[in-house]
Amino acid sequence: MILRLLSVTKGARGSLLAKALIGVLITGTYIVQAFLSAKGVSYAFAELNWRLFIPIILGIALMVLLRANLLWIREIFGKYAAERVKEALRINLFEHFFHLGPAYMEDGRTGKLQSIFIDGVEALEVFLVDYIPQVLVTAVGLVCILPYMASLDPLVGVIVFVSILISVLCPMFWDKLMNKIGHGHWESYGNLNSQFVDAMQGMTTLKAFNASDAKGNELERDANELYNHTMKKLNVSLISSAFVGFATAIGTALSVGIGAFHLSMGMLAMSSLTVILFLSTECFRPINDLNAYWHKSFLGFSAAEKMFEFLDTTITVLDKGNDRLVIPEGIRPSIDFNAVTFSYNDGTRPALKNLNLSIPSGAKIALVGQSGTGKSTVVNLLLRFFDPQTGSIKISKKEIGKYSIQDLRRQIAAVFQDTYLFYGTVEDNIRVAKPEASFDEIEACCRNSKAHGFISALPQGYQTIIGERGIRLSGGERQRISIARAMLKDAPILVLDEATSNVDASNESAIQESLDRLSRNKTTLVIAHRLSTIIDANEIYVMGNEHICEHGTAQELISRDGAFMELMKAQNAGEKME
Amino acid sequence: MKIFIKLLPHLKPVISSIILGIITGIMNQGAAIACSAYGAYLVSLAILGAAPHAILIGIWVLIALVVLRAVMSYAEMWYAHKAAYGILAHLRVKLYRAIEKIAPSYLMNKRTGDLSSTLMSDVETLEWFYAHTYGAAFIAVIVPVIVLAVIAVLIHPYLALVLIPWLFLTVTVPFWFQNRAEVDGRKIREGLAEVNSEVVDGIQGIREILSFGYESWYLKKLRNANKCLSAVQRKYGSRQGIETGLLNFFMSAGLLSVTIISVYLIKNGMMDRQWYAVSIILSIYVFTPVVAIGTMARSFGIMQSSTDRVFTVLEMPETVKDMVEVSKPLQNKLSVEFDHVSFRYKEELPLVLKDVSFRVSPGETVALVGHSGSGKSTCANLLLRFWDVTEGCIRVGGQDVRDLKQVDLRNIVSIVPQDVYLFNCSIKDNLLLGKQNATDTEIYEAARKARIHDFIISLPNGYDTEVGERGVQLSGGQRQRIAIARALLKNAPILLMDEAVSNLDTKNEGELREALQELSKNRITLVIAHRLSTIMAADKIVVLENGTVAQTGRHEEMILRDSTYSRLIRTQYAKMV
Repeated sequence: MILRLLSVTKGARGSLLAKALIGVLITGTYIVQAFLSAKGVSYAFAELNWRLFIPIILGIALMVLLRANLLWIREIFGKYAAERVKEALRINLFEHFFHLGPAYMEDGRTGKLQSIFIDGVEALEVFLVDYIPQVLVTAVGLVCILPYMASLDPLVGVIVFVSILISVLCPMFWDKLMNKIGHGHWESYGNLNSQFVDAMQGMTTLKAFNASDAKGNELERDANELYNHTMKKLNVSLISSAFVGFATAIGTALSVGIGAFHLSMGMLAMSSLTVILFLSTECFRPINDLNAYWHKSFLGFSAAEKMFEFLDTTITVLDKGNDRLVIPEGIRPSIDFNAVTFSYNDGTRPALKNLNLSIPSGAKIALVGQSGTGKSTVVNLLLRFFDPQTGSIKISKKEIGKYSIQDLRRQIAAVFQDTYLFYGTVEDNIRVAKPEASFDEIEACCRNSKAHGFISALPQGYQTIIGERGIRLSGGERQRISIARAMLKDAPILVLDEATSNVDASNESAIQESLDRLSRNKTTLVIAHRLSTIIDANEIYVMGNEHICEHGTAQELISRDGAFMELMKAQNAGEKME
Repeated sequence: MKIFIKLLPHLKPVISSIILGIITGIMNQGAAIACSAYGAYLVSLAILGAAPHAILIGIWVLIALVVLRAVMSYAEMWYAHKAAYGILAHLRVKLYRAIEKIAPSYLMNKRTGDLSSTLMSDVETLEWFYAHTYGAAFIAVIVPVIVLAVIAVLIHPYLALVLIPWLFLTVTVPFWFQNRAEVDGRKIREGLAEVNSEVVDGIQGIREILSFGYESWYLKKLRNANKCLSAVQRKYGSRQGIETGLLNFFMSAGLLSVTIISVYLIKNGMMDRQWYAVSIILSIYVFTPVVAIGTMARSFGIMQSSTDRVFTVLEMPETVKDMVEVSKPLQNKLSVEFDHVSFRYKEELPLVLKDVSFRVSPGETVALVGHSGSGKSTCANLLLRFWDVTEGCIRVGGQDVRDLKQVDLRNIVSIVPQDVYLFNCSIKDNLLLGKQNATDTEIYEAARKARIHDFIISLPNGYDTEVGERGVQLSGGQRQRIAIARALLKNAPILLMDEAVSNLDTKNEGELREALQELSKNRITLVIAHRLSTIMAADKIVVLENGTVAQTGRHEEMILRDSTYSRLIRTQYAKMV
């Protein structure tokens, strides 16, 4: 995992190296200062003379000033590197998420992803930007100091070397143990986040059912679980820190003690001992810093594990197409579903069985049937949010897999059953379909989708911020915005999945007219609940359980008196007029 | 230092861990300093010609000190973190409880990503305070005082005196830049919340992003949010860098001063040579606890703003307060009465309901109709007391709803909302929301009545099927029927329905209508109606127009005359099959 984390630093390695070099210089100032201090002690025992001490004091002062500035610069380099690493990481994660597509969200949870994308990335900063350069600093520092110490007193050299070995290796072995014990840590962090997002978004429902209190208890359990996991993992990490702390402290203490002992035996010169006194602290300073960074990387390691797990999620819908789908003006694509079978959740939840469907170029066909028969699945497959297990889907006689996914989706304007609106202004939300659209175009689309009226009545009109998911709009208003969005996109294939289900009837008929006009020069797939709206379709497909049970024009189907008529009767019974 | 005052009361439940953390912390620092000073003392002794065996004994003392220190440092970290994470868990629960009280009004203007970043990462940030600042502050005061006293007594008071100003300066460094730290800290937390919100939007809106080919635009948006955040983080880092430099400078200045004074003292015979090395080493280590707190304090800006963000939520006044200890008794036969109700969402906003009065008598079904924005949903929100009326009153069973506890009021109302929210758990758990102790038989019965039972048992895991986030694995119609089953299970005397215009497929619609009619038989039903059939079946229709009641009556009475109602019906339903 550590190696993989190293690969994440790509793009910021220059600044990290610079940071490490500054770190080496800082260590250098400490070493020089240690030598000067040692010299001072030697002088204190030999001959006290201001003339000798003034250069020492000035030298130390110089080191102090230099170091203060270096420390400042180092922090700036660190932040710069952090910025680049974190941005690259977030964009990478999101790109992968886009490739996984809505399929991932069948089981995925917003809160979990959010905690990886944000807090996880932030938590990695210490490891990537502080720990990694510090490894270099430590290595360089030791290579310089260790041999010198050994040359002063071989036994002290050995003591220092062994302590360093322990303090470097211990966390590495511990890492393995920590992974085992701490496995549930990030999991429970993400879980708590998800539970919270879920509870927030469903708070109205919870309160209405007096269940918010019970949900609170559930959250309390999750919060306590996070606490337990944190403490368990922390304990392992603290033991490791304590070991390393012990190793460095005993190394320092023993080298000073042994040095003093050797001096009393006459085996060591005084000037060497004073150097050992100060240098033995310096040997361990970079390691102590390293150890501190390790402790702070604690949350980051847990996050990294989940992050890589996410990045390793296999992309099921592969973008292998290279054939550019260019549809000349006026030529409308045809769509063919040929013996398509598809199940959700890796084939465990069947949705479509051997489905055949064909939409000739420029035709408007309708898909009707009870809920849960797989109508929306057809749209999901056409947009390649999922790929079918068997069978083929073709647009303009070519497998959709042959087109690049981006090109494929560019050809389709879809209105979904429950539409998602982004936090932002009304205008921005419509602009999603065509970022470069002029305001006039946007307004025209809104007029056609009967959204202009209510948008104008909003406090700031098109500039009104609509809350998350469009919370401040009614279902019908949201749908009208989403229809405007599809109109603005103006793609050759139009897909309407119960596009007007929440719009009241007076607006519906007007929107219907606009949609009819819009679909005139397009290939259109309509999924409809109100049969009146699809009576004029070129062909109507009636879906029964996971397959098409009959198709034909409205006239044919009515005269056949089959499944379609059954739906008609049911609907007439439901919406009987006086 | 208001942060200390605000965060202090939360220490109470973990006070013993805090105290143990401070005690072990003092011993940890004390042992570390003693160890270094004693090492330096041994060196001096050796130089002055002590016997080898005396040095050997000294080495054992050193080892003992090191062991003590290792144990204490582990204990300190353990207690400090135990206290800190305990408080964090506690704070998260408190935050949820606070939000529970101010929902949904507060949530209308907040983004989920923003709020969840408060609950998760703002709270996590407070770990710095509770684990690394609070106890450390005590240690940073106590340990140097002890060390200075030892120096003054054992070596020479001048050395202690010369260290005091530098120690003092070191402690104050974070205060020099406090304003800047606070401003930047706030911007960082806000920036993070912004990135959080963008990310939640991107995750939940993925289908739209992909189908509109909006990926690169979205990433640009995300990158911008990220850039804003990084810019402040860089500024913040630069300030931290200056502070690090200054901390180090003052600490080293202490060392320098001690060097100079020691030389002076020894030269003038006021101090023994053997203390020279000890005083130098002590002058380095006396700063350790102070620098530790100083280093932490560099992050005060972020801690401060996280604290503010957490407490803004915690201290938000409740939208609706329980005004009584015990609910007043209700009449046996429940009725609902809106009595001259006026309402505005906020003081600066216009009235959305103006002098609305109507009554739903026991056993009646009343349909609220009107164009969107006429105030129908607001009536439902007020009946559930998500908000309280501005003027007038709403009576249920003869009592003003404000004389009922919220829990009791919501116990007698079931709702079927237009936008059904399903939780990311099993179908069964979602149904149990209606009645937490329902038996399986009751659940199946409700699901059967809502015409969803057969579908559920056809799923591989039946009632234990996980529905995914927001019920993503189910169709709109299925979600709707689960909501109806949930309301059936609750079986409350008042049914509040925000009718879906559609979503239900036509075939089940008829059956379901029967079930709903059955359901509304022995209770009061208030329905925000969109379908003519529902409207026609109602005992009474209340027509809302721009927040006022334009008309009330029965369909047959009102449709014949030229009225608001007849015009509404004509425009709404003229073109239906």
